[in-house]
Amino acid sequence: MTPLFPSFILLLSFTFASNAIYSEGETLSEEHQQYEFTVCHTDGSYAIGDSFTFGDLNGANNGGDYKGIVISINATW
Amino acid sequence: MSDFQEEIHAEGLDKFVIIGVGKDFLQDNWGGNFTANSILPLVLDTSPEFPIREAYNAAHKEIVFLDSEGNLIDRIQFGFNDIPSYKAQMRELIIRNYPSGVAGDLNGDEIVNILDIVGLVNIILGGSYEEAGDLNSDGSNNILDIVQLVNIILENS
Repeated sequence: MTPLFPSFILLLSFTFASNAIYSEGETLSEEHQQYEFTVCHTDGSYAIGDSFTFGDLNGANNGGDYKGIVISINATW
Repeated sequence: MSDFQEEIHAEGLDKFVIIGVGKDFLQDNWGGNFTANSILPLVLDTSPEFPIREAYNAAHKEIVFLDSEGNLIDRIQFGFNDIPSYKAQMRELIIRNYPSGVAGDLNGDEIVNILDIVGLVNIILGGSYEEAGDLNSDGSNNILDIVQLVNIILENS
């Protein structure tokens, strides 16, 4: 029997990548706020290798500290 | 551009943070882009799906702005030829969309202190509801909000 877990991971990745192209005025979904990304450069609050989620900056999750976010998107560094 | 976050935070605009997103772990020698040499948190956009870039259908060197509720409010495609003008655009967008109010500031004096605790206690005893006092966003004002308010005050003291 094929394990289900790898399929689940693949499904999550595919869903974020292909089904959610946000337009202006649309809100980052709860599901996508919890998607984990690996930190690859420390800023003092995260260490290299830590997980980052956009939900970290949602005041509902962190004790009321709501942050606006500027995402600098790069295909390379 | 790497000092832009420090600049806006020094102006008191610290309710916006800048997240750098790239495709690889940083190498010692990285390019002169928006996030170069910064203290910004940088995250990997997981290969091969690149979910952040895909989710916003973004190009290389594109800046995406989300307000404090996670709404996509605007985007800027950078050319890196006129950095000051991009900074001006970004600052204007941040100011225009800056979150109003301070978490836990029930009396609107822009300070969270004992007066806000008194106000929240009165709201709870009066059986009414104030969204500003619903710090854990559970739809009611209760002792849990007071605990959270006390924690905010202690963290800021």
